[in-house]
Amino acid sequence: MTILSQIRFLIPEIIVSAGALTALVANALLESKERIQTPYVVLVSFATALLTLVILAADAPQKLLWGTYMFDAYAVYFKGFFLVLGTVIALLAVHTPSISSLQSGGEFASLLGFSIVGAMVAASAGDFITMVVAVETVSMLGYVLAGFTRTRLSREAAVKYVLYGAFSTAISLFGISMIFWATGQLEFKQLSAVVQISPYKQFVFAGLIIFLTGLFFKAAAVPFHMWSPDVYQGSPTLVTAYFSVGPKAAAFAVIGRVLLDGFARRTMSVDWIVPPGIDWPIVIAVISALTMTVGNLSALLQKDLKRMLAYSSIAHAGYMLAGFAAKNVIGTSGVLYYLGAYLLMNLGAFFVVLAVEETGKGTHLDSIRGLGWTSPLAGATMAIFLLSLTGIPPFAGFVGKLVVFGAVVKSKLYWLAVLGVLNSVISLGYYGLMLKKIYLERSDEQVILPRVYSPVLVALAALTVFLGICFNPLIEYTAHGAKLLGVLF
Amino acid sequence: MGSIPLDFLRLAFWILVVLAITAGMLVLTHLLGPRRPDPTKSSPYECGFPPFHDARKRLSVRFYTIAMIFLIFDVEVALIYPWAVVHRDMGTLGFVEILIFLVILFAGYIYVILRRAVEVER
Repeated sequence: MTILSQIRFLIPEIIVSAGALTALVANALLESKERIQTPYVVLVSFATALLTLVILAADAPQKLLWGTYMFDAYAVYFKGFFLVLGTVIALLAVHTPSISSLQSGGEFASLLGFSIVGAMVAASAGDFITMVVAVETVSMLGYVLAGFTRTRLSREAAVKYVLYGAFSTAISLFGISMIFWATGQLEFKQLSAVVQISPYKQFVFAGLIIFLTGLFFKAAAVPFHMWSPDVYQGSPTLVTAYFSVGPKAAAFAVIGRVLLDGFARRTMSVDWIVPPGIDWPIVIAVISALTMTVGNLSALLQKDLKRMLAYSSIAHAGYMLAGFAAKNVIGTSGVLYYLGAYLLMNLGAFFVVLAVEETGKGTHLDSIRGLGWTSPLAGATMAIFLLSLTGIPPFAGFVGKLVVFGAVVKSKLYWLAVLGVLNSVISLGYYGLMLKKIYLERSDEQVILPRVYSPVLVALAALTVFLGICFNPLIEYTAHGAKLLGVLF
Repeated sequence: MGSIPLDFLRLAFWILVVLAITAGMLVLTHLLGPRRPDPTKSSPYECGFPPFHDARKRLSVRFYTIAMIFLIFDVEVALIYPWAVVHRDMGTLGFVEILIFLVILFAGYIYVILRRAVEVER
């Protein structure tokens, strides 16, 4: 296949890059009054990219550019995920006063666009170099977005994020250099064959763990999560909503592909076979157990909504990692499905907090007191998001947990499944506390949602319910995406 | 661990030798070297100007933007040099690729100029 015909599969990324670039230049050219319209350029590019992605998905799977770029159902799912995420965030950027009233408010969307491109490339990365560049793109733009409002807290968040991010990338690169030294391979699909016969298995395993440490930093998994509550609290709330889903999902896309494509083989059986001596599933299982437990227990003690949701998102990263530890197709498709559900419910919860914050009430736990009565729509949708985050049927979060923990039981990691269920009960403690504040307490202050918030919240809540009832098509697609990992083609 | 490759033993040996030579040089010159200081020898720059003001001078904080922009466009040139060397082999496709690369950087250049990032005086 010639290069030109391969570039066809990069069109979604090219469209978003072009949109973000146009928005950036337009921002400099336009008067400050008109600048806030530029996010619409990025928004249109997201929608067009999504359309082309759907058309191109028919030709998957493809191995492009000498194996550095994979266009398979796994990548398509994640690309669609990031584009939907970008669309929602860009739409709200225009209608959130704390962002759009800034002089540089229009630039938010172009930064977001570049970040989404990075995440889309990360989902497709077929070798370590492409992967590092893509994940770094997501992180770099994250640093700028964290400091976007230039308040004291926002600056602090940006600096913390830069330091932790640079540190974690350095660790990852060191791990990659060890893997490369021992195997001479950077391409994931080739790596799985070389690892089997490598005489330096200890070095490969050590390198893999060091590499994963760097990615655990990005995904905010315990014990590498210390940065995330501070960064999540300090960043502008809209950016926090993006951080809790975007960079985290990019890290998960990469973790899944590296582990299942590079360090496991799959033929006809349902389970991946891990090369002897490189027993990563147990590492992932332990990290997963730590992450969900520490995340949930710390969330119980929080008094700030953003911090509480930050710890809740740490706990959710733990649940999702359990799906990879199960190392079977159901587990991996469960992770992908869970991420989809998490996108809806977590974004929704953060948007309600954002809407309350925009009315000048701050983000203390008491700021949502009586929300169910002062703003019935925000209260009701928040209740749906919180119940879904807890994992109560018939919402999407329940199906995600069911599939992931079902896969964990199937791979005989019973202790992890029990811990996961216990953690869901613990999480009810703080999600329930929020629900209590919303419905069982009263407040006289009126909360008026900014424009566009109501339809976005209703859409997210409706999708949360829809995915909780009609989950089969999406699960089948994610399983379809998971099946090709670890298979040579 | 019985399977440490020979390379690592060689590396360890090399590190030891390097440390021994460096430490030996420092210790021996300290012990054996003659010391006859005079005012010229003791000045910070024996063959240069005597310092005429304090090194801790105030600089405009805006220099950091210029430094960053310089770095970015410097890297751009660093990519164009290797392309120029092989541009015959890369053909039209390589030419188009480098044009796209330049267009993206030009967009950044326009942004920099319009946002007045390179103007030091305000």
